[in-house]
Amino acid sequence: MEATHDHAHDDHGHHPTGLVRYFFTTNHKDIGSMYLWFSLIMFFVGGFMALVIRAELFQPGIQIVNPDVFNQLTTIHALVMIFGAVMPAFVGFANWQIPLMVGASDMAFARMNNWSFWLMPPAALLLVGSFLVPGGAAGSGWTLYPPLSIQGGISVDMTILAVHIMGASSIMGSINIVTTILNMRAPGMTLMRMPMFVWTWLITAYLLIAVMPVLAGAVTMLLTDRHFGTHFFNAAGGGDPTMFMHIFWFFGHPEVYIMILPAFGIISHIIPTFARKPLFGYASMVYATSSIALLSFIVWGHHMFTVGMPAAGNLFFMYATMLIAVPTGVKVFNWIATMWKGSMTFETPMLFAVAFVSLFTIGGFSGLVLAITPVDITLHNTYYVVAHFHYVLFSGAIFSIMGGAYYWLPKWTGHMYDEKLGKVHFWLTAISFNITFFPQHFLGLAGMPRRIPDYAPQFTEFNQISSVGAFLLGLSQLIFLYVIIKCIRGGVKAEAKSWEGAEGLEWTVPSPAPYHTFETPPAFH
Amino acid sequence: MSSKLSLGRAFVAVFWSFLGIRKDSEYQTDITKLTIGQVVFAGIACTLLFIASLVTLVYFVTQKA
Ligand code: HEM
Ligand SMILES: [Cu+2]
Repeated sequence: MEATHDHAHDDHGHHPTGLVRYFFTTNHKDIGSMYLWFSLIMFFVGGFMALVIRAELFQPGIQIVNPDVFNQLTTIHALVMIFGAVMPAFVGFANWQIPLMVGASDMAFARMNNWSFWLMPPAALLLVGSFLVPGGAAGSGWTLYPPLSIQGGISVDMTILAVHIMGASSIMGSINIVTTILNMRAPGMTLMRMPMFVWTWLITAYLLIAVMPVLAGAVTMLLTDRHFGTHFFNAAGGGDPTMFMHIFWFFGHPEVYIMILPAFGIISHIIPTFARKPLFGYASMVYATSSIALLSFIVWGHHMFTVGMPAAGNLFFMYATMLIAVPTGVKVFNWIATMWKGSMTFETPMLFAVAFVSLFTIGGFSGLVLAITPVDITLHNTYYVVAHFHYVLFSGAIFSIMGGAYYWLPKWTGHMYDEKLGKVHFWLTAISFNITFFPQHFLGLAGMPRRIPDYAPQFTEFNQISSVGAFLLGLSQLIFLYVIIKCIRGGVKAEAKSWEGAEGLEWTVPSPAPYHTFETPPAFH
Repeated sequence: MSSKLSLGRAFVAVFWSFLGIRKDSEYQTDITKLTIGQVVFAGIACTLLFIASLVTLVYFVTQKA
């Protein structure tokens, strides 16, 4: 990823080096690399917490952490993974790829780009550091529901501040992305001829701009409830805790699409490349992505079927949720049709993409199950929900991130990664992922609640299978780290067009991509 | 094509987008005939329409038999 160190052929080579370079850089490639490294580090931090959780759940009873710490771990694990690993990874891809894909010399607001990145590490320190303050980290769950989030100690304030900072960073990043896409495309690249990844990010950026302020508002109201005598969510003072849930999920459901639309974009590049066929139904894809984005604002109530909404409310959210699955399903058909009769090869990025299509679909189906109000009333707050969102987030978002990393590593580093190790990483990840999370469907159906450190003995076997899978899954990621470092250090020289079937402007510049690209806009046809 | 006709076309395009399907030839016409403003307008209008039709459906479903 940091392949842009001193290039003999780089005639703009008078930029600072070392730490200063990264601190002051306004270069989209440097910033992209920093986002990606940040995301990888947070992935390991959050992964470590997950392994402590799974170790505790290996047997019934309390062994390793006390119940308070257990709740803190589930809370911070989720926040770190969502805001620290998945979202920054996609922003990293956006920084590297969007200017290269649209033929722009850099992001529109290069200095603001630096600031969006450098806001992230302090936010991460606040989140992770909150374990060290008296009372430990926030234990309310990532959804920060009152009353727990009103009662918690100073760590809740740290979490709220972290959310504010990360929200500001996301909004700045989104404004940057929207402006770059709308104003800096190569002549001839009309909106409807943009690469899919650019399209999905354009829509994602609008979603971010729409909902991050809502989240910021919700947590600010929590903050004033905590310290300034308001009672928005405090029932004792006439407030309404369910109002927090409504506001939170009005942000929360679009947020899950924020984490999956860029993944759809990445997959829509990998599959055509390795099937050696253009994306089937580009237009349908653009249309489906836009309507998913619009409709994602009217389904939030499916997270609240058990809070006692009127039957009409429950029905509305049930119907709306089921209907929004239609355009999502169409995308799956488009990817399959792209592969149909293609001359496919299965390099690591393609393996991740094919696994994405199959496993994400399982997550989509369990989502549909949960969308049925009467079914959700029994499954809500059980491990079935945990299984659902790990299928869409790990084998969805994270598989696309890994596939995308393998796909563009040659462009970033100038070297091909170690294909054999990449495949080992893929198979270990895909198999242990399923060992970890598939049994959680059964646990949920049998009634095991989520977010508890102890459980009834009849749940033991499936929990043990899940924990063994989790450790395998966690350790397999060290291979990923090794492959990346090895690829940065050397390897077979990558060509400008690193993959036979690759299409797009990014493959017209040399590998590694020089520090400055497209200073004069390229011709696009 | 007059702008009135193409606003109608924007509604048809958005309708198909809710299904997630669009015929390629139709789409080629869309991109030459439609402006971004028309599509955004039709998108928001169709979302409101969609909400209204769901609310109506729910209203009838929850009436006492
Ligand atoms: C076909 C599409 C989908 C449907 C129908 C669906 C439906 C649902 C429903 C009904 C719930 C609430 C379950 C409960 O708490 O009782 C839920 C939870 C969740 N979904 Fe989905 N979902 C879909 C796709 C996705 C995607 C693409 C993501 C993320 C990339 C996602 C992430 C989540 C998360 C994180 C939760 C749990 C939130 C929490 O309570 O902590 N879902 N989903
Ligand atoms: Cu949702």
